[in-house]
Amino acid sequence: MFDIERSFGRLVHHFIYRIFYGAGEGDELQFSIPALLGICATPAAFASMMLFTKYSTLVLFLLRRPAFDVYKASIPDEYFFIVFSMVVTGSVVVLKWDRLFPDRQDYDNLAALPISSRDIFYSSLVALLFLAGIFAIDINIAAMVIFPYVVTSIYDTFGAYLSFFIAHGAAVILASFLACFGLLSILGFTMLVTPKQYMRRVSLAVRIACALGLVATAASAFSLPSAQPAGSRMHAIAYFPSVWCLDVQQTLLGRGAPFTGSAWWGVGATAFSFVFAILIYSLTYSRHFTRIPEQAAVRPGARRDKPSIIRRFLDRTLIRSPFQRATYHFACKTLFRSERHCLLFGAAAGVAFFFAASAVSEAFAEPVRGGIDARLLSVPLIISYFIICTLRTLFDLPTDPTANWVFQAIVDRHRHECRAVGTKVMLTMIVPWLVLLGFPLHVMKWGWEVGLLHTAYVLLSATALAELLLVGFRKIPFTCLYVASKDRVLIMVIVFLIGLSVFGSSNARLERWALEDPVRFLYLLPCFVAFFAGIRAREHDLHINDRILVFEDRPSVNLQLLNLSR
Amino acid sequence: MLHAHSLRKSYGALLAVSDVSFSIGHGEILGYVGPNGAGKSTTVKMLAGLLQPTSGEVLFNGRSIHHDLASYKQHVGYVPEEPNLYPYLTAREYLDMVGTLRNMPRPLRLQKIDELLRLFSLHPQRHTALSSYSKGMRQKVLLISGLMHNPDLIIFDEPLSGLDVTSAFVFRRLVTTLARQGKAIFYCSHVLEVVEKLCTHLLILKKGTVVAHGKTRTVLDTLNQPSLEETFAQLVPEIDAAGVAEQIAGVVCST
Repeated sequence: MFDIERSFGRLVHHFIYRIFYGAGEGDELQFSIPALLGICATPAAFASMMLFTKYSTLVLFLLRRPAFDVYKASIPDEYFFIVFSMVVTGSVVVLKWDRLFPDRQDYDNLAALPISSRDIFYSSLVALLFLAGIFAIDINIAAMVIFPYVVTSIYDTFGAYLSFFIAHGAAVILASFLACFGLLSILGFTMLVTPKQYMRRVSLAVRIACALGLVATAASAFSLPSAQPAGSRMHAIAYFPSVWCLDVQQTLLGRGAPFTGSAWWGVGATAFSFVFAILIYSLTYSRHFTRIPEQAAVRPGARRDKPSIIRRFLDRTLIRSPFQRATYHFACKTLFRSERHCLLFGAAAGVAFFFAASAVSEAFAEPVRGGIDARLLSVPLIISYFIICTLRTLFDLPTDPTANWVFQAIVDRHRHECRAVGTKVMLTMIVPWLVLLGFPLHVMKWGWEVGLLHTAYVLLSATALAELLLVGFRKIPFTCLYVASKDRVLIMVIVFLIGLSVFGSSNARLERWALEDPVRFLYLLPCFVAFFAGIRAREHDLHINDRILVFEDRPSVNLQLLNLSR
Repeated sequence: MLHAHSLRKSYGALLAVSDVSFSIGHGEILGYVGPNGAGKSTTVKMLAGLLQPTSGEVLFNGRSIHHDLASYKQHVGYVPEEPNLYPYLTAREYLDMVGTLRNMPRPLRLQKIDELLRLFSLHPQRHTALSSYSKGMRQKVLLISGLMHNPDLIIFDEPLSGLDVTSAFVFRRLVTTLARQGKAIFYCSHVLEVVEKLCTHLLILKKGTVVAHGKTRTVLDTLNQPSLEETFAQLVPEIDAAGVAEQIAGVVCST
């Protein structure tokens, strides 16, 4: 497509590959371009095909629903595809953000060549727009073809299919562009106005906020369509950008704009974000890329030399051995400073927040008369569950496998305390919000006695879960190269969902039973003691080889060639 | 202090190191040289305790290092070839982590870190993430991490990589000073001039086997060569350097 024998075409080609592959440093989550495009296109195709049953004329006949309005019935599904388009595009922008702008590496490699700065700017911009277009089409193309056919099959006319195809295609592609350019504007603006010394932290915080926004948008796919406005047009849900795109689709179908009253909200917002994103991109390029030689390579960071009071307190009380101190602080810093880990943790926290919020909204929508609502009790349990499970998974994702030589060169593999460190890191991510935010809320809602018991119970349950998930754990968090076996992923997802149900809902009901008569906690306490003792015994029984600290963890091969002919 | 006895390491069918033996005593600096693929890095990793030899053993003060590897590691300072550091940590945080893992008492650790960062001219950038450091600055962090716990044995693998002229000059003086104070130093490098000037002893490796070993002056005198470069060219005549250089120049200058 781009003539790579000419310098401009070659530059565009370079930037496209750079956006995909970056500097190629230690990123295990890399996919090839066709693989990534394929992965992104598949869910919409499957979702469209799953809808055949809903709109099948045979099913409608059997259900005796001859007056079924397919256009009205398709609104939730249309909204789902719009949200899907926005979330996938938005996720790519948030995850690949650091690669969207030319950086120092580009400067070092390109500035010395006989290429004008303007050519570098235009080529990077063309690459970005090209990828935005390709993505918008790729993630929606299957649904653009199949979904209109599924919905309009009842009419059996090409005209009905074509009009739905155009309306649906326009809406989902608009949604993709809106997410892409909207997030580019937000992130670019952040980059433009933030002082360089705070850039990394502020950028990360904004990206996490964007990721949470995308999670909220995804969550709206299941609840928003049922909240269609009646009467007044500017309903609260009309402030959702995803709803603006739904109005575009409805307008193109000739059914008005039921949410905002005008299709121009969607079109205008996309046009504005496009212009704003281009403007921000140019200004950011001018501020950062062209001034790279003026900037000192390293600026002194402003921070105090003395460790914080919290750190000194932790070092004296909870993490007392040198191994624990070093690896605990390393793990915490990695979690908050490694962008990949931070984003994944933030996304999981967003999903946890969504589950917790739906439990709360259910509890307030249908309050329990008398007694304590188990759905409210389940909120901190659900959040703890997500945090612990996410951390357990992230511990196996190394930050930079080549840098773990320092641990290999110093640490005694036979005398490590990885389990203790893992548990303490997990609890560190739970205790602060549980005590500072959860406990006062529990006291306000249920009084001191229940508040204290509930907080203690959540803490005990979280510790038990952390201990359970870390049985046999013998890695320093974030240092071990782990190659996951693909056939385990499905099982892990099923176990995770079952675990969520057990640890969240069932555990909350058990706790409510105990809270009804606090003496019942005395029955539960021995169970916890037995549980912890069981885990200790299991650890003790592990073979010596299963206790040695590892820095590389690969699944055992099922089939091995013996090469007997050699 | 350190004695490598008939070290042999193979990766499957590939024999990386074969029957390598040497000793390093207090105050001695052993220069370990050889072309790419000769087995230098494999030896370094075996000495650092990162790799176990296929056969042979490494003795430290008369005991196999694998007898009590953790205790051995406490006495060793290792400076690897590649400055692979955690990019999001600051130099101070990284060194603090290393010092903690080495069981250094907190006051001594922090005092040494600050002092060494100052002496290596990194103190103003001590709170800056390592991702922003140049290769030379990262190399300095590696040097500090390998020396801060006062090791008895120091293993340097291409320690001058990325260092500027002044820092390299300081470093060379540092190595001789440390040797004078009784440290045993294993110095693996491609920079033959530095090895010749710095090392009391020399070992030349070729395809995993030792082709020359002894006191530096003795090796040069025995082969009757004026410099280590000439000695190396004589012992490891893998390519016709002058001929290849001529060919490259011919291609470069062709129009």
